[in-house]
Amino acid sequence: MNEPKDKSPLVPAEAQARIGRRLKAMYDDVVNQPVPDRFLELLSRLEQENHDSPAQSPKATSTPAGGVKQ
Amino acid sequence: MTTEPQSFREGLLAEIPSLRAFALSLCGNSHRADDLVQDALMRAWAAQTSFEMGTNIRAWLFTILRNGYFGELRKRRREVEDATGSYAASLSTPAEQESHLDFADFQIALAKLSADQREVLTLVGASGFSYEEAAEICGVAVGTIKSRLNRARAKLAELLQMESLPASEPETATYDRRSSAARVRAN
Repeated sequence: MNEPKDKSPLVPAEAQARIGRRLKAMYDDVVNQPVPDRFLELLSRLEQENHDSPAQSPKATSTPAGGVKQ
Repeated sequence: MTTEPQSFREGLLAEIPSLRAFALSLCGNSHRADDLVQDALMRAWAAQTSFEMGTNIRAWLFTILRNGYFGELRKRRREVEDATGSYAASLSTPAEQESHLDFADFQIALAKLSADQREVLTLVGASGFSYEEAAEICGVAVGTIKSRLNRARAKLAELLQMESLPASEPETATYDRRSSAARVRAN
């Protein structure tokens, strides 16, 4: 509720647009890069772990205290 | 009712480019940015039952990533007093060829903002989130997002204007070289 000091001048539309274009250019530069292998490997590994210990199924997760197996 | 047009894994995969861009805009270092992304993906995977399919997975992932980043930042604050300074020192993205100078100036200016200012600029200015979505991601009121955004833009505009003076010198310098050469010849 209390905005202590919002006395920054409103930025002219032209400057805003210029800032916006640069931000977008920087951002898109990364977005357009291919996904590094490390992330593909990570997702495969995570999925593999799910297969190995299928905690995903609701039945398996509903035993809160009796997890002797793991 | 389209049930899962894509799996959770595919959902994550599709968002990795945006997550990387967002992370880089926060921390300014591409290696650290990818570590943040990795961390966020692992946490997202562990929390996947709490994600409702069909809701905005990008917003959900961005929230996880930024909470990780700001949590870490808070922890480190004592050691690294100036997070801004370390951001500036760690800038590592090579600029695109064409507007090389512009890009470098812009990054330097960006580094002088606070992390939450960079965050809001990116969320609204580059990722295309609405004020409301940005507010939800950051866990603050919409009014806070608006004023933060305005302050961030004002500071950036001010910095860029200041730096546009020396930055314009190299440009004229190349012309000057020619003209001074001409001048030398003329003399």
